[in-house]
Amino acid sequence: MPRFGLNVGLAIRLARRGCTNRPFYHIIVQNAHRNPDTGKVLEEIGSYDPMVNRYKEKLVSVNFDRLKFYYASGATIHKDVSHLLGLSGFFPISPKTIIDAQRNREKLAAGEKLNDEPPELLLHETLKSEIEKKRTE
Amino acid sequence: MLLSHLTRNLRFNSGATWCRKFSRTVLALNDTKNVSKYAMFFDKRVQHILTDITGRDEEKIYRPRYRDTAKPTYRLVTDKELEKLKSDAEEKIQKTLQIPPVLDEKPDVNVILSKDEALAEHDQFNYVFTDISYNIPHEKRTVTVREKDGTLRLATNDEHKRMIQVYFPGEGRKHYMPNMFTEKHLERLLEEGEYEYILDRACVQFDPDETDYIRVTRRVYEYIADRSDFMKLYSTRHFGAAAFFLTVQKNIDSFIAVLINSNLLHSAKSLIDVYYMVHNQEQGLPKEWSNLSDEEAIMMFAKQEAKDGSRIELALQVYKENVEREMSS
Repeated sequence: MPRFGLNVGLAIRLARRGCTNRPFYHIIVQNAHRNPDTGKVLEEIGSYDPMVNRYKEKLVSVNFDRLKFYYASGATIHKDVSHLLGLSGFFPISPKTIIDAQRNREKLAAGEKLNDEPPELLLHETLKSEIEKKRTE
Repeated sequence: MLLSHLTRNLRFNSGATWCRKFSRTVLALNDTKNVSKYAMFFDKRVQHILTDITGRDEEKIYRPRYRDTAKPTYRLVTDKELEKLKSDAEEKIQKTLQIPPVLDEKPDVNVILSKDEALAEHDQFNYVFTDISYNIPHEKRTVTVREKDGTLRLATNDEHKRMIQVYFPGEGRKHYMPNMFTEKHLERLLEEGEYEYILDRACVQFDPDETDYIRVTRRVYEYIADRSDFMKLYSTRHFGAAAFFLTVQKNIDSFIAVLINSNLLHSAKSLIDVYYMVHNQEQGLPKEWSNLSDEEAIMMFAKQEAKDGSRIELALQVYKENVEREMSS
């Protein structure tokens, strides 16, 4: 589909920050030809932490005001970002998400494990019991 | 670290902002027919009385607390400068004595936005999405959670607060509830009589309409009421809050007795005014109330409304005897 607007040629994508064995991503806006990890960034509009926290959540933050601005003026959205935005309820669900979900279900039905559990985190004592309580509920 | 945070956080945002913020939520709740008695907290007369009975023991208000231990300085100033210093001091007193709001619990959020079975098992964990756009008040920020089974829902109060703390950290707040607010440690602190410390830190850690804030403060106020230890809170910002909370709970007999023992009869009468304003909203104050003297009014309250009237009467009697003894000597 042809795109029009001020910012055609811009891309909204994930840039890997963090370090070895500890991924952390920024959701960034930059010129599409630049390298997401090392290239110049126009604006950081969010973050994504793929490692679960002590409450077993993955955290995503997005500045939706800026996202709307860039999207409306023609920026393309990378499929990883549209996967996250689909989950958040901002975009329609991305096809990638549905395919992944189906594959996961097939794996589980076949009795396979999805991924390894994250290492036991150093949990605060009260938190541990809280989480246990939530689990048993 | 913590102590310096506490000191800094004691300088709260101006009282007016706080009252405006929360009175708005109370007004919204009032649309339903069940008007909460806590809504009376924002009534101007009640606010006036509560600030009035708080007391202004300047020795206590200006005592060194936490790390605020600067030595006093002495200097010669002109009349104009003296005036300025006095008004600054007055402002500081008003800020230190700003009463934290006494509110109902925030209702639980249970809004499911969509359910999508095609998304079941898309991931092993929940995703939490936070809108970090500028210029949105934190309580209006959208936080959504996509669960493992594909349900998209709004975040619960707990999750919402946690996300705000992650992306917009409040000074002195922890990401999790400090251990001192758990039942075990709270009881120990109460036995040590650290009421003000508990209440101050609760103000920093929680929002006033949070379940945990209400649980902690309620426990502290009730503990104090059992031991009649109110004067420890005198001239602090928590005195008015304790008075109002116990008034709504109809548990002010020991409070009034303590006020009488400390020769604060007028405060006791004002507190009874609040009692009638909260509980007899339609009838208002009893007949000829304003003509009664403080003693008569308290006596009337002890006979008509109090649960443990004899206690108040006894306190009054002791007070009268003391006055007579002073007169004769």
